[in-house]
Amino acid sequence: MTYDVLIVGYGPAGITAGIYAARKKLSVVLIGDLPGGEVRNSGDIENWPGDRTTDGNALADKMIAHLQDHADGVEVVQDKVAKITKDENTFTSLTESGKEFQSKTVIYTAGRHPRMLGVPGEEEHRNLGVTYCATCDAPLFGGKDVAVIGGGNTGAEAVIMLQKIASHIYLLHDTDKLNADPVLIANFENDPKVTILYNTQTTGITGEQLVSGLSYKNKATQEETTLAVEGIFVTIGANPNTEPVKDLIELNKFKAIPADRYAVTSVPGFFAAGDVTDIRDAQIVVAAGHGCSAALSAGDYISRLPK
Amino acid sequence: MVRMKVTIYTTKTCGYCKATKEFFKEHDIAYTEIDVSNDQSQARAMIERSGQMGVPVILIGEAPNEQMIIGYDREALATALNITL
Repeated sequence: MTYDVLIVGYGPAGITAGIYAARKKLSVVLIGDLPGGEVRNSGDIENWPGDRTTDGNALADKMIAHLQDHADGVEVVQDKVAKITKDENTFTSLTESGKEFQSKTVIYTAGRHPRMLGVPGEEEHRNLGVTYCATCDAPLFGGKDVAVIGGGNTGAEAVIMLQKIASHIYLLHDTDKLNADPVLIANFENDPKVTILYNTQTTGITGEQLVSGLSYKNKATQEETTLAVEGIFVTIGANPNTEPVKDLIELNKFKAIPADRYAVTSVPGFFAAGDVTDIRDAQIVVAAGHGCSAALSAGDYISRLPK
Repeated sequence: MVRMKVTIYTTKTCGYCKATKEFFKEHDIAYTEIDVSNDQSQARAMIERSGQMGVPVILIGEAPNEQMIIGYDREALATALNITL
């Protein structure tokens, strides 16, 4: 069969698009491998209106339950889309496990994945002390000295999580001012357990099997220092998951999909929403809103297709 | 069908752990969960047993021939559990 809408991604943008598309009585299949998306790996969430304080898992579960209310209209497939092609007015999406789906439109909300440092020793020590998900792995570093690299909101949240767990935390940032929200920084800026190192550039990760050290350079003095740490939390941003559509649509220099506020892209019938696009604010509430617009745009597009 | 012993090490807040457990449910796989979030001795035991410092860690089969899968990897899980995706 040919679905009206195929949604790629199981996060806030995709789920919201699914709810809106189902309410328009469109036939929908949603394909995603992490139910709830990267939201699941967020810690506490205090900026989702209506829930003063919640956490990633709780919010993801609520969103999924809401989508399941429309189970008769939205088929959910736990899989990963590997490639999308377009032929005339039909899109074909191929998944990693070899399934193929046809649809009139695609709403692409595949999100982003954490960026790597690209320094010697990083790849070899993945899951051996180097982690990209503080929410997942922080509890494994009880009583250890650790480093968090990147002073944005994700890094600050990692420090806050680790304050209760680790022995000492070094927060390394590449400029002379942290990017995180002041309300987050206030939690640790005066904590003697936390050392903030500014103007740093990570140069290498060392250790026999498990991580035992991190080297960094002071960008002002060029002086190189090695810290004895057993855990390294990398929080230096994220890259868009656009590999499956790189031959379908022109990406921007950050490999994000250019999409307008209505989620319209340069390819007719292909809509994109949330963190995978060039949208400025990678926020749950923004992604959800963009997902809504994508579904409405897709509905509008379908109504104009030749019958 | 022979039921294989499946153990998953998790933390409460780990999304990939949740996704892995959903996968088990979908394919009707019984599993034992060890939550290491608030238990440093279990966390240490996991690190010693698996040599890994990241969750989820999934052990399939009986020691000493058990198979270890790190992270949420559907294809590796399907192969180890002998199921078709």
